[in-house]
Amino acid sequence: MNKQLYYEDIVPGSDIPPCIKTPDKMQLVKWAGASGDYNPIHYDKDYAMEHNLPGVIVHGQLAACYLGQMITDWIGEKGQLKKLAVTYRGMNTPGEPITCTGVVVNKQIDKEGNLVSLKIWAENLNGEKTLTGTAVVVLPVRE
Amino acid sequence: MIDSSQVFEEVKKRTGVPHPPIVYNVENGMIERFLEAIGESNTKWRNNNGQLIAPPTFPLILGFDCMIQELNEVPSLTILHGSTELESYLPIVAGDTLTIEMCITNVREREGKTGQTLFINFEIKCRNQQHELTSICRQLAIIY
Repeated sequence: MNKQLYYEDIVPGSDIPPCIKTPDKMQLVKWAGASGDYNPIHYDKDYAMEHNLPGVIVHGQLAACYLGQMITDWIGEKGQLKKLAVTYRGMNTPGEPITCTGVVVNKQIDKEGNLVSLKIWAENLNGEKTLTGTAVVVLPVRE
Repeated sequence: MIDSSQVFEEVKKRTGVPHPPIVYNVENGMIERFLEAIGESNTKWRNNNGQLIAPPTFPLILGFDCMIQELNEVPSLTILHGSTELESYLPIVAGDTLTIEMCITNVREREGKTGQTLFINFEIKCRNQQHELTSICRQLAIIY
C-alpha cells in the first residue's frame, strides 16, 4: 500500500513522483478488449501506415489511464481523483517507455473539500510531450 | 457500402440527439480486465468486502465502443482522439449497474491538409442503480 498523502503535505510547485510504463503490443490488445476500442491503427501496422502514422500507436486513453495511475499511487487510498483532463498531442509507440509526471499548481479549501490542482503530462522516448493536461484531487487532512 | 461523406452527414444529423441508454452490469471480471489492461494490481483496488473498486479512470471505457463503432465501418477514415475530460463524483464497485447516457454535443467541420475533417465532441454521463451521477466524460474525436 502506498503512503497516504495529506493536504498539509502539499507544497505548490513540487513534483509528482513519475510513473513509467512500457506497454507492448499485448498490452494494447488487452486495452482494446477492455475498452472496446478496436480502431485498427492500434493493432494493424499496414493499416496504420496507410493512414500516415509511423506504425501501430498506443491508445491515447491507455496513456491517460497511466496518468491517472500516477496520481492515485501518489495520493494514497484516502485521496480522490476528481477531475482529469488531457489533450492528445503526439504518438506513443508500443515497446517504448511512456513517462508520466506532473507538478502541483495550487491548493485551496472550498465546499468540495481540500483541493489540489495539478499540471500533468506524458513524454515519449524523445522527451516529447504526447499528452498534456490538468487534474484536481481531494486530499484528507491529518487528524 | 457507405462512404465517408455519408458518415459525416449522419454524425452531423445526430448532434444533440441522445444515443439509446447503454447498461453495464459491473462485475469483478470487468474491473479485473480493466486493471489488467492498464497494468494495475488488483489487490490495491479491493474493499473490505472483497469487492473490486474501479479506479477513477474506469468510466473512460464506458460507451466508448458505441462512440466509435459506426466510424470504424469506413476503413478509409482515420480516427484520432483529440482530448478527454473526466469528472468523477462517486466510486464504482463490482455489483453496480451503470446506465450510460451518450450524446454528440458539437460537430465542427474544417478543410484540412488531408481533406474534410470533423471534430466531434461527445458527452457521456454515467449513473448508478440509485440514479446518482457517478461521472461525466467529455471526448473529442477527430476524423478525416
